[in-house]
Amino acid sequence: MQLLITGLPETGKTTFLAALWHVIESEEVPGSLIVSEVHGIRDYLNKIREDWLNCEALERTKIAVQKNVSFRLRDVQTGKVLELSMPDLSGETFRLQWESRQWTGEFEKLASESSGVLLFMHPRTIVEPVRIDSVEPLVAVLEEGNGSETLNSLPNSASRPQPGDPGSQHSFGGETTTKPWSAADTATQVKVVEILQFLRARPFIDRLLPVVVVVSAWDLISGDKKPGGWLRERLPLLHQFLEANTGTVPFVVFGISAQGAELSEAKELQQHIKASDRIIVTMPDGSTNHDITAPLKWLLER
Amino acid sequence: MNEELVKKDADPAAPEPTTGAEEAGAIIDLPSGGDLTPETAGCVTRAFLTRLVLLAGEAESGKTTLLATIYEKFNEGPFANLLFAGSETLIGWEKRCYLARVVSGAEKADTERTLGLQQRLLHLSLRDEGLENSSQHLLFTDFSGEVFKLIRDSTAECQRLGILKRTDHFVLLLDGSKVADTRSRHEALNNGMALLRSCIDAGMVGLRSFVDVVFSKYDLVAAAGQPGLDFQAYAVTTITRRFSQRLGRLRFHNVAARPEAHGMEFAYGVAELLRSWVNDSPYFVSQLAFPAQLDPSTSQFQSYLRVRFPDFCQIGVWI
Repeated sequence: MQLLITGLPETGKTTFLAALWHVIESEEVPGSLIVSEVHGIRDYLNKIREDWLNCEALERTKIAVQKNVSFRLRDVQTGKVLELSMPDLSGETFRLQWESRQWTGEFEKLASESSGVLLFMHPRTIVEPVRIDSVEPLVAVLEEGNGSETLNSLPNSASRPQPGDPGSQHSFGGETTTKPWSAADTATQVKVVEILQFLRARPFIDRLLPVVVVVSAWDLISGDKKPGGWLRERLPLLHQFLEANTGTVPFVVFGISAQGAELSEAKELQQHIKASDRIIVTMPDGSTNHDITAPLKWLLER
Repeated sequence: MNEELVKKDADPAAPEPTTGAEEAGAIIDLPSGGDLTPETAGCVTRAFLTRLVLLAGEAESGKTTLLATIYEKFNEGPFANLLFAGSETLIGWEKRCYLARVVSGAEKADTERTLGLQQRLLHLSLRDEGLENSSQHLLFTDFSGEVFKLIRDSTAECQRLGILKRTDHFVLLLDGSKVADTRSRHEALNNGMALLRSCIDAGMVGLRSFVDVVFSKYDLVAAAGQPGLDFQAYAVTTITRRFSQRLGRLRFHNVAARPEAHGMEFAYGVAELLRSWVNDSPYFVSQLAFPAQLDPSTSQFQSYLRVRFPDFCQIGVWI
């Protein structure tokens, strides 16, 4: 079975792969899938695993160095043996699909051979659509009170985000310049819906497109939220799309912290006797464990 | 699938790749996501039963803003008890919402004016929150005010707009900012009625048509106080008297898609309108109980449909 790992840049795909490799190879987590054979060279897997064990930031996967990782896995509980292949594609691949409205024959072949999709989202990289009328009350309050003095005292350059700044999403008070529409500025949920629509229209036409949404860095999410509830709240358009199309796009949402915490807490993370105890997997029902293979098991059952 | 994509796949002039390496390196075009035309909309209408909603009205009467508002509401969550199930024109929707979003750098929410005479369509697939029915596909026209000025003033131009005859919902917008202004309200009303009259006289709208008259920017009508409301009541009475007998259905709505006055929420009045566009169509009657008493004149084909698809809505003439 081949799975397609998708997600925009910096959504935790490679970190997940590093932690996954550790779990299936080390057999530390009871009940997890374990590897019985690796196809091809394993230097890439070992390198990213090493960085993960050392709590070092993993380098962003560039398009030129995308890897196809492939193993034979065994489900200890059922005895089933499965071939699993997961191309580690750069998030840039998907960003370009949205912006240029093209993909390669190679990608289409990969997707057409896949039985399901792992879709990664990161809480910190979500871009939300913010309407001007929704922030007007706040602006009005700031302009009426001392806030106006604060606003006016700020220089027009570095202190406040300007429309042309990279990553700048907002413009507050003062002089404003309207910049032309750009696909790059579109909200995350719209880009992801479109990518799923591309997959459904071509390689997954006339067949089920099972999707596991993996919310990375789940340790950043406070409270007792279930992953599905988080998706409904932060990416409502995507959640509706998945819910409305559940007949052809069955889906489930997991919250996963492959690192366990921020890398700045490396010292604490490395106190765990078993490295896999760092991993926090929040299941769709809100329960937690360390079995990072749980999303794969769900897909394997479709 | 998008026609452009199908065309590329089927293009006999394109040489077939002969090696795996060539196939791997091939660049495949994906759907543009931009506006559809009546021709390219075939990718939707051929695949799905589709409702066509035509928004008509003078320039700057709020047609595009109304559409953008619908899409914005779905960006926030389910709307009108409906779920967003997809769209072939996401780029088209995004461009129309852009100037009303913080990311544009604009100080005040705005909508780019629709220019030119091109026939543009936007697509939405929506589904009941309860998931009881399958998705309903809607195509919305986004034509410029200039198009409607042309068809208001010319029967021939009206008849040339073939899409008019196919609409499930003809939505006539009367600009609330003009209705609220004593200097412009008579012209606004008369222009709206002239447009409707032209479409009826040209045979493009009639007893098979569902017509919604929308007082857009209703916050401004309400803000004008009793004089504004009185004129609105007069407009309703006049339009009803002149046109109700010539149409399949005539209704009136107050909408403030992006109200400026306080006290009205964003998308005021839009939910009810959208819901009716999804649920109703002049081309479908409500579901028949099965087994239904069949009229002796029912054709064999219709009888077969009722047996084969007992839950399917019967296609028939409304009146």
